[in-house]
Amino acid sequence: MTVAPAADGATRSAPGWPQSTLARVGIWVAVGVALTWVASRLLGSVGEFPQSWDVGLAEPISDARGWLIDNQRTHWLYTAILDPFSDVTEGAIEALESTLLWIPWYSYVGIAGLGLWWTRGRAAGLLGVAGASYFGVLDVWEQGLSTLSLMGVAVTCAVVIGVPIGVWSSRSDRVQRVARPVLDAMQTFPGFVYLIPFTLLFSFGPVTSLLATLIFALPPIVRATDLGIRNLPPGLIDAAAMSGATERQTLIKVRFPLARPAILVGLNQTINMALSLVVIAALIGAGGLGGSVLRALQTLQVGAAAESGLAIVVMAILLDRFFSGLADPTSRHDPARVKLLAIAMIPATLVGGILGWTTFPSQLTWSFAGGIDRAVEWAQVNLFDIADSGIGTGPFSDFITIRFITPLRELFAQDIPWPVMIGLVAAIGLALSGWRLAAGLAAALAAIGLLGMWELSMDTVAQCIVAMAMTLMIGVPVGVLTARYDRVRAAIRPILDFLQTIPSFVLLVPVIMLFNVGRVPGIMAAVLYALPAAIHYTDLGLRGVPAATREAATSFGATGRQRLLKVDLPLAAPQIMVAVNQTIMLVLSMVVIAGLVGGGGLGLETVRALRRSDSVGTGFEAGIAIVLLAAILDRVTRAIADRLSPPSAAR
Amino acid sequence: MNTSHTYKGEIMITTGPSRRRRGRPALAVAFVATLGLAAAACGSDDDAGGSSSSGASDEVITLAVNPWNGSAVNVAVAEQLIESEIGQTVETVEIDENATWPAINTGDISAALEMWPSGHAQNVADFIDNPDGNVANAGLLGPVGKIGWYIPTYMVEQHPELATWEGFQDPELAKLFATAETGDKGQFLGGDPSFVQYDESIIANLGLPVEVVYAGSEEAILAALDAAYSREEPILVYLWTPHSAHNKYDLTEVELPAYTDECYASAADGGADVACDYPADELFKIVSEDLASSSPAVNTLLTKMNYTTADQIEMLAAVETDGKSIEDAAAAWIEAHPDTWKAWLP
Amino acid sequence: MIEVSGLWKIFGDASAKAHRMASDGASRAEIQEQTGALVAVKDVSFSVAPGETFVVMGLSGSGKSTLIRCLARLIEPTSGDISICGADVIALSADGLRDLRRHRLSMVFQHFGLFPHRTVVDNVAFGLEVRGVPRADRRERALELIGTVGLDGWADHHPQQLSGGMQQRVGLARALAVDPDVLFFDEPFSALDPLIRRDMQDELIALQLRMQRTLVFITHDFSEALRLADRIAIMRDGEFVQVGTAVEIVTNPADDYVAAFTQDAPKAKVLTADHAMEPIERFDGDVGSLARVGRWTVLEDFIPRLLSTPDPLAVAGDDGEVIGVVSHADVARLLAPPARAAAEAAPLETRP
Ligand SMILES: Nc1ncnc2c1ncn2[C@@H]1O[C@H](COP(=O)(O)OP(=O)(O)OP(=O)(O)O)[C@@H](O)[C@H]1O
Ligand SMILES: [Mg+2]
Repeated sequence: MTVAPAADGATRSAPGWPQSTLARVGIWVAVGVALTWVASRLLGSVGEFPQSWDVGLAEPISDARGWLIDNQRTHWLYTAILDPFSDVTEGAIEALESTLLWIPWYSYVGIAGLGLWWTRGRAAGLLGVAGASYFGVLDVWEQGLSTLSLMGVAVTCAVVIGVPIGVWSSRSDRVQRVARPVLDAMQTFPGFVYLIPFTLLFSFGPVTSLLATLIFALPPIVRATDLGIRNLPPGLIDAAAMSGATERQTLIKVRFPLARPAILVGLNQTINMALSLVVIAALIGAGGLGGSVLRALQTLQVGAAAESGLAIVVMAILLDRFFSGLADPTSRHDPARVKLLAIAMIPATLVGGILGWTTFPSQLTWSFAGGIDRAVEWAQVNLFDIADSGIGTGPFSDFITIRFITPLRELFAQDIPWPVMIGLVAAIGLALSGWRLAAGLAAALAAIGLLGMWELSMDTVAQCIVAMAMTLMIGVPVGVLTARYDRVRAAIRPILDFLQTIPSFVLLVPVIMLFNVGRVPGIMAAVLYALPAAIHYTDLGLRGVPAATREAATSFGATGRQRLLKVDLPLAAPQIMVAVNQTIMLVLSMVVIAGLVGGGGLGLETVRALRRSDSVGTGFEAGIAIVLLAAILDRVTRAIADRLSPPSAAR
Repeated sequence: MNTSHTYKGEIMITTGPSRRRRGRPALAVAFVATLGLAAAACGSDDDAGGSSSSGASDEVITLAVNPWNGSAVNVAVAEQLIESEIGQTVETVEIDENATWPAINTGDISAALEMWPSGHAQNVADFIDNPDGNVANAGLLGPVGKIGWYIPTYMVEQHPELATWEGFQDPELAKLFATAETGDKGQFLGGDPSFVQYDESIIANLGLPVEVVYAGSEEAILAALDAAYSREEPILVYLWTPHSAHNKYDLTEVELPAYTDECYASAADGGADVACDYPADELFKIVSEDLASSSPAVNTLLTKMNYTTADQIEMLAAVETDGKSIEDAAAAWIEAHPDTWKAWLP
Repeated sequence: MIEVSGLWKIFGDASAKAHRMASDGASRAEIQEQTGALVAVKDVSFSVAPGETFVVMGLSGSGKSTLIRCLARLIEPTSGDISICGADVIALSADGLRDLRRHRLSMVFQHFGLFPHRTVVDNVAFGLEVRGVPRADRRERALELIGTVGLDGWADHHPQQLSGGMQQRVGLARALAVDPDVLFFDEPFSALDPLIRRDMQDELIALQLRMQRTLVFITHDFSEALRLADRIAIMRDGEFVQVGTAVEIVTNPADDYVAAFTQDAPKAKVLTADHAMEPIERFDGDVGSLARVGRWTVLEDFIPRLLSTPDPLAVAGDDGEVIGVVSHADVARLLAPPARAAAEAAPLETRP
């Protein structure tokens, strides 16, 4: 009933913008560069981050691993808790999988078709039919169902665990403050590192895969629930309070139903995250589509990997379309007819199930793997250096390496001494926000040094910056286009969906073939992965510019370009910073992939943790360093976004 | 990591995550996930331990298929023999090598049949040598592997000096292998981190103008090799034999100073002094210690199982060149070599 | 019915210091400058009698919403006493407060505050639902109220499908459904267009005539205040600067701020012949020949008659005796913009 007063004290003076901000930023940068140069000269001899300061997290983790191995069969922790837990979970996944395998194939086609028809209309229904048929036609039916069942259980668990946590966190700022960094870390800590330790905790296979998936997929639904419940129109909560509703009644009767669309959006993201872990889960025996991808890649069968990878994309798109349609309660199509057909499907399913018509007719299968293989083959020969002209992916890769990555890495790892680097980052924090941010950033960076990950981190940062710059250089202009032309947006949407959900592993082999082993292929994979977010947020920001403002600019005779530069982009600037922020996060999440294609840095350490049991400790250190880097870059970009927001109405 | 054209489904002897318990389709049919969960909770206790009786056990044997065809054919042979000669059911599970160890330790997986010593010193210490560990060394499989430095044979044809390490002392020749990452030095494409690598030490101790770039995965090495080969470019990589890449590309091993024990004296503490070739890898098998009591017959068979590199290559060739399925290749080998496997029977 | 005394609401951390400064007479701006705290409601006291309609008006930001939200304890007042229906609102426990809201107190919101996921009837029945009234009973009662506010036939629609005016009728029905003694209105009609607003006011007046509830009504529209109010409080920077009947405020504004409000008010609707007339003693003509007008007739109603002749009108007292005369000049003087009158009288700056 009492409404917590908003943070009253935080009335930071908003900057006058944009010109004065630009000038000020310019001055800050100039001063910063000068000071850095001077300080680097003076401190040039401090050398590397002192090794003796290394806190050596690796040993205790190795010790813990030893303890787990020794007690894995006998300790009550296992016999009383972990083993039963594993058994129950495994049973659930198996039961679900068997059930799914029992249902005849045409029922899936029907369900996908009807579901999309109901939520999005007939055209979408056809998409559903086509999408579900893909699995049969490409002969990945069983793998698809296996993935679906693991994902189904993972997502169900994510909802069962995540929604209550989200509710809790929405009701208490303290919980939110604690939960937020934990959720961030869950998403940025590389799964490779805990995969093997997890097999020590929970037998192998489905349970471990499930937990790994859960760790990655839980944050979006928690955040969405929290946000959805917090950001309700305040009037409604007042109205409920004035009717004498209790907290519980308000939660159940008002907050929850109102937050439903937001929660469904979160669910959608959770599903996407879960799907993006399918391949990694396959490393520990989860099989399914991820297993097919891995197996194909092991022998460089890019085409076969792409077929299975595309199946993951199709699954993601179908589920995405269905749930985002479901989130909008006003969009329901032909409910009567859909209902009739759905009812008709029940006997058809039972009959088919009992008669065992489960497998897709094999005469309908088809494969395009050979075509893709030939295309990749052709590309690696012909695009690498087109007609020996010095133009092509190879020379491009060399150019990026020599001109950008190597100098940046040397700058960060060698030319700027570590104390100066920490000072610089702290100064950025100070300039952007204040002492608290400055201290936090400096502490995080110092912690990276103390973990003994300084040099590897600087290497990774250099790669991330290059990847981010490339992503934005492509993403922002494309976002401008999609914001202006609906047709462009519609045209590239499937491409973006594809890029976002295709398992990065599938890209692994082609990027190496085109760009050579090294730092560039990882960067290219990261660019492809982060591009959709950059485009999406730019588009969102520009579309969010009020039509009235835009018309005003036009009425003063601004040309399209002037309007874009003087009105649209400055107003969309905060959203574009969100694009930057998301880009960085996504790029960082590809650090591991970089490690798999020769990018070195922190990524290679996390890969080692998976591949070699004596490297788990170092892998954890690298993982923590990634989390810290992500936190630093996240806070900095968010602080910039805050600064770019126009002064909000005086409170 | 003997792999080649594996078409999807071929080595997929069982699909999906069904291990410890037999399938329960009838149960699953009727219930949705929640019910299944409850049912599993009740049902799990009866067979959770798995290892109860002795003698003519009806226990299901779970064998690990690690992700290369060599591992798959070993398992296929063992599977068919266990099922036909001993009469126990076998399930297989595809799993990463490192994840295999803890699973065998708990008895969730019964055995893995092809471990490369180079990659598993720590696991051997933790799970076999450790008295609390529950994994037993089940002896050698027979085939011998070997890690080494490889270049495409067309490079040797152009520059015969490159057949040995001394050729790489020449900065001009080494520079042929240079990339944007390594500048003037030649690039050595370091391997899959699964395996021990002393290449940095070897390069430093031999004084070669070469720099290591870690590819980070076997897939990366193979992709780089494929790309270089298709464009006839120089490449120097870490690879091993037996490996299907040798069927596909004509590769020459660069001769390094011969292996000696003294040369590897420092290997245990990181190998800073290593300056010679890698040792041979004698592939070995591991089994769960429970197996001896729960399924003694199977334990005996798996422990005795041993064949030659030629035996394995016979099957791999059938799979990788003739396009046979793993099962068929294994069945054909069993058919043709009864003398070999009869000796493994209890 | 409602007693408020010494009510303060200060937003911000430094409320104690702000309180002290405000008591010492510092302005809201100064306090905010120095402490960062905002004095939204400053030492407000008033009481509302049963059946009375008490209107609070003031410019945007003057603290009206904050005041009413404090009364309802949607926000915690910084200090002061509030009593509603005999209950000490500040001291009430959560349960007590809920009980008060379930049975005696309701509120109608500016932006309607309707639940988009519930139908009209479920919105109206919400208060009954949370208090545990069985489904059938509450539906019956809700349908009855939906009829009362003229929305028959819309019960099973969702609020979004209704026009703004209809939505606020739902809001009103919802507030009435629990049969409260006291109703709070926070600018309920501000979001509606003028014609609908007028309709709604009429509706409310009619309802109030029948139901005789105690209303606290917030508006920034003076003509709305004039139509509804028994008494009006004018609020500025968190303070009540004047409390009185419409006539008192129009005829005797406490200061320029209040005067500025009344300036554009339709005085012809408020003031009566009584205010305009010259006492009969000062009139030396023959009243017998003049047309008559009642003492409490508002200007609006007799101006046409006045304008139809060059002569003044005679004003009849309650007992029919002529007590005064009203001339064209009298009316003109009264309706002239007071600002100009004030400016002529004395320059603003010199006032204390
Ligand atoms: N939760 C809050 N925290 C801080 N300041 C607030 C808060 N709520 C209101 N205020 C401030 O208190 C002052 C009074 O606000 P209030 O909403 O009561 O004004 P109002 O008279 O209702 O205005 P309007 O006519 O615009 O509704 C304003 O300056 C407002 O900014
Ligand atoms: Mg208000």
